[in-house]
Amino acid sequence: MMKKLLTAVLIASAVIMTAVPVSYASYGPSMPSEIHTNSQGLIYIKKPESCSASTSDKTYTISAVGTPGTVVSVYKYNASSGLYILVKDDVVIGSSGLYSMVVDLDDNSNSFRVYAQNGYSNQTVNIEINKIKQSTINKLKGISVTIRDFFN
Amino acid sequence: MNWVWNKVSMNGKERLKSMLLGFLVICSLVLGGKIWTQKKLWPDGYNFFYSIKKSPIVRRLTDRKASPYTKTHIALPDRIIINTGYQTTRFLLNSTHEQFKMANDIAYEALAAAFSADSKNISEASSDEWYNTLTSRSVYLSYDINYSSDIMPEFFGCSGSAISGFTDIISDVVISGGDMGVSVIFKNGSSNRYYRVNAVDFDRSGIDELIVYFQDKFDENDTSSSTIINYSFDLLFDKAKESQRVIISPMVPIFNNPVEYETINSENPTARSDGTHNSQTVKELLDIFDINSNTMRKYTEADGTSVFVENDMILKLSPGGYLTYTSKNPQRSILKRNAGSVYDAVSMVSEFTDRINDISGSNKDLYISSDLTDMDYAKSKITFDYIVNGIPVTMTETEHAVEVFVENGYITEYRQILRRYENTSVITSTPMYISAIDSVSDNGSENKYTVVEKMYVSYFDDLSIGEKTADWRLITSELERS
Repeated sequence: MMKKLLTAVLIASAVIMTAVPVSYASYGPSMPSEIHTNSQGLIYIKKPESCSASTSDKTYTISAVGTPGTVVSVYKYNASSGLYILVKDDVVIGSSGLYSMVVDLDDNSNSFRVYAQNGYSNQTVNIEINKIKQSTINKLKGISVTIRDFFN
Repeated sequence: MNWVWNKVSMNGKERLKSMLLGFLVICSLVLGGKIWTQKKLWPDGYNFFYSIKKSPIVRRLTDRKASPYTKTHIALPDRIIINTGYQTTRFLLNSTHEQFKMANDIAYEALAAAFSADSKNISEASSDEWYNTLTSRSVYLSYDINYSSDIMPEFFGCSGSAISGFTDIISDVVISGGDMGVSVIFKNGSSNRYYRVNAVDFDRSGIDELIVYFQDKFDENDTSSSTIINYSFDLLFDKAKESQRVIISPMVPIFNNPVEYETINSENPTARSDGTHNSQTVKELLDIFDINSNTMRKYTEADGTSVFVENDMILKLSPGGYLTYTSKNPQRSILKRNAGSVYDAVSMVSEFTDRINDISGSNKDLYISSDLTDMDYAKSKITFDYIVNGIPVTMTETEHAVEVFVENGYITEYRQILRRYENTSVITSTPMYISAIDSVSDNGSENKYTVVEKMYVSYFDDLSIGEKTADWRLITSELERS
């Protein structure tokens, strides 16, 4: 009885010991939509300033600052598989704290996930980049809005 | 018949004699004239013809055709960035790119028009206008130095420009085509204020065509990783955030990929294989510094430096190609053409450096690396550095490649590292820009931000002979964390 109890305790502690690092381990070439994160302060995205942005360019440069030693990778959502696919491999933030990465854009919507990991801490930031045609931007620039005085 | 033949023969002999005599007279005039005008047979100032040749009028006439590089060192931007209006796709041109001349010619005309504009076409602009212009279709001219707003217009053929009534310093320029015509925005780098000039007399089609040319490259997929360029302000690296130890000045261009450049070979152009100097080069250098090789004293220092002394003038040429000249009496100094203004002095020094490069076989591409602001006409220092493959060469053992001290328009001291750089056809890549920034951050203190004021690719010359590779050069300062 005592032997069984001891074995159970040992197995349980082994499971607990391995579960913690495994849950925060670096993801491979793909990542599920829902993952568990435990930190908010590893990385701060500077550009885009909000979680979505638009551009007519073929590429977009994501910039960030983060804790030195943090490993950052970028994933892109693939609608057919429902997974985030690795597009930019691990980059370790150096002592400057600066990070930037260029990602290629498809037409219309592009969903990216920046994944940061430092020891047992990890964090994700989702970014939506819409690629729009330059002609659309030019049209938008050409639109003028007249504010009428409705009160008279 | 015989009588006729004798008469013809007599006439022929006489004609031959006359022709021979004429030929000898012409020869004596040409050769005598050459000796009088080209050789210094007497001490300086005694030879009438030599004095005429050195006179300001003749010099001005001969210099005009002699130095194609003159002044391009002074008014040329170190790089031109074509902002296509796409957020990260920009084209950076330096003097090696074939479109650089086209872009620079158009920019030159636009700036000349801006400097000619009257004050009612000039107004202060906001920083938002400046940055918005840089993210839309425009041409950005990056200069390595700050210019006085009095001096810069003179390089564009305008004196007394109205812009000097608004700003005393010009450090950066952006040109944009708009519906109302071409706008040129000048940035004062010391006050961080901006001034918009409506260049109403300038035809905007040149600027438009230039930008469209590069937009077409984008549309035709004729782009590469090197065309992905962000300014620091695009990436908000100029704004401090917690955990950020480095701030990058807003106008620093950031290449998101390593940059490739050809490795160069550095040579001392005056040295011969046996370690001595080329005697003809030395003689011509003495001539240009107005040191009479017949009357001067010459000795060699322990390190092999050749020293030439005449009156108050000392010229030294080290085995490594370091040329120095000093004159204790400015009035007896070289360049007796008295420069009447700071602009004249700078132009004159540039021309003089060109002539040294012609004689010594040094690289002719130089850029001015000392600010042209607050220059004291009574005593000032002007510096130049070499450019190879469109990027600067940083001297690691001296401050600059060329240092010239001018007093009241006369050169009193001249120093130059004589160098010839040759391409090796070996291409090397720089590290990622962020690695260079991390390395300067490692040396910074904990309670201060390291501010990257400038960041560009440069060759580094430690004065040794041999291969030099390109790498990032960062100019930094520190800022207290608040």
